[in-house]
Amino acid sequence: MNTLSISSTPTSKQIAFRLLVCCLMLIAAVAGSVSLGATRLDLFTALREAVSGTPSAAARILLHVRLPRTCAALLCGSALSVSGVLLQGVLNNALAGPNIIGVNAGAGFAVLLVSIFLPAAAFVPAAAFLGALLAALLVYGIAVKTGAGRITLVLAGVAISGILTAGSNTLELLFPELVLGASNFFLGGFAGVTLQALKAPALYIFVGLAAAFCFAGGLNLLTLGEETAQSLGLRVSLTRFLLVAIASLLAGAAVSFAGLVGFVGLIVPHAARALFGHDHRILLPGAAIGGALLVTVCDLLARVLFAPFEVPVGILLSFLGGPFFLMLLLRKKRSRLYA
Amino acid sequence: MLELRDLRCGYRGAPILQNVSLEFPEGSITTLVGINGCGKSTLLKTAAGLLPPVSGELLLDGRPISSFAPREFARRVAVLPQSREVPAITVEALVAHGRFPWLGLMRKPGEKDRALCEAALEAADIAALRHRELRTLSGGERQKAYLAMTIAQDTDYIFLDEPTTYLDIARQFEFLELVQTLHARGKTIVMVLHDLAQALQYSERVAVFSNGALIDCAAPEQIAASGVLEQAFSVKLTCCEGHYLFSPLK
Repeated sequence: MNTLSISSTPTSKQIAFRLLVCCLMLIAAVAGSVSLGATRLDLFTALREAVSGTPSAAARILLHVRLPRTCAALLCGSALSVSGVLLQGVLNNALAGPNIIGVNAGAGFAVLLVSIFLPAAAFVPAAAFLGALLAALLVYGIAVKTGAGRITLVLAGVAISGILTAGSNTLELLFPELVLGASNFFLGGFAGVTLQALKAPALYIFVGLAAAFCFAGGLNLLTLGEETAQSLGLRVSLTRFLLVAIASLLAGAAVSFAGLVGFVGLIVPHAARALFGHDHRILLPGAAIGGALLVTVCDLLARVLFAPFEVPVGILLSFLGGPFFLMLLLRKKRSRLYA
Repeated sequence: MLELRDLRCGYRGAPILQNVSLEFPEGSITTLVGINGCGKSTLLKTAAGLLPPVSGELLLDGRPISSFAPREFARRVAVLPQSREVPAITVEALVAHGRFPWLGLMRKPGEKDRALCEAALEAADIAALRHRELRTLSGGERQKAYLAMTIAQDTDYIFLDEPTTYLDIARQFEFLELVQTLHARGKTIVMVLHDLAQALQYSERVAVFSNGALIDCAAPEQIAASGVLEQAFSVKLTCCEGHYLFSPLK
């Protein structure tokens, strides 16, 4: 039984409507994220000033604070969500998410390692990708070699996640002065992110998203089962490997600037499946939009709820995401497909 | 013609079957039989290219199947595996997947692809349920939906691994009749069946496996008369008005 089959397929009309609503909500969220915060900006005035190069306070806030943050939230949300959809599809496991199976932890450990021993910003996204990929391949290798069941796979991921997190904590203890803002990194958040720092991760994420969308058809075949996919002429092992690599690229890039933002990669794929169905050609873009929406809204809330104080978005996501995920589980409890 | 020459097959270097030499001529319908664990399904998977052989040769029209690109091979040989996922898609969407090996780089199905899917839905007698979701169907209906997918693949060869397992007796005959009509249209069929009476009734040739080897491959009447089935399965076979009956030895 396919554990991912938990909701009925919506009609194409429903899907189109829901996608449209999500897009409109995303636009509203972006507008809100840019204009709301510790100080409130008049969006159009600030934009006009920023474009014309007027050195006003509003223009500077817009360009150096709000815009980078909003971009970071959009990138992080879409990357982690698509990464989650890919991992769940490849491992055929509804519990697989980049934070659950150790991909985020691998990226996080690598980021800390590099920021201590090779302190150059240019290495960070690449290191995050490699860390994520190694963790993912380790879990995937265990799954393939042992023919392990779904629960074993998740447990292996949790174990690897635990080891890597312990490694990260050790680094934090040994090099407290070098790992500046490490607690922020562990919680996940976008405070202090700059457009310059986003350039490389953004490139990784655009490449990753484009590649993921190209493989949507292959991912659809994989959900038919390995043998069926193979008999239809799909290079199963190669496709799986590439999909895991793409998922790692996306998760690694997100972790490199946002830290260990949890839950997005697990919740959004499930919500997106309920909203947009199981065809990955629609599901992947849908999850990208949904993830961008969720993280942007959460980041906005993190800034305005307790203004002028700010909650790291990772905390808020867990507070919102946990109950939401439980609700999803309870709503689907009658479908016995989570075996 | 698909040819197996001195084939050894099994998993990870532990061969289950040795020295199998067998041919599947074009337009034939061959059934592989044998007791549980004798390796008939392994042979079917190997012959269908899902499992690499341990040693020996596997030729499709004289050409080693390892020299075919995966999609090229999938345009010649379709397989209905025994264990399958039940994805959350409609029958129509499932059948459309059968066109995958024929689609171009953009994966966009054309007029011909749609026509073949339509014909496949009709041929597998599942067209009425095309908009239903796979998970809401019964076992027999799902099996037909998967058969429709392999028909849409438009191959010369169709391999069926225990296609009637888990079906009730009426659905079993219904499915085997569908297979007969495919055969009548010129498809080469290779299948694994557990029911020996059905194997004898619905095949042109029956291949009997026992003790890690191919014992015999011949027409059903010859196989029935030769006594190899009784030996391999330790059962008694009686023929009564053209129907085969199997009973325990004592």
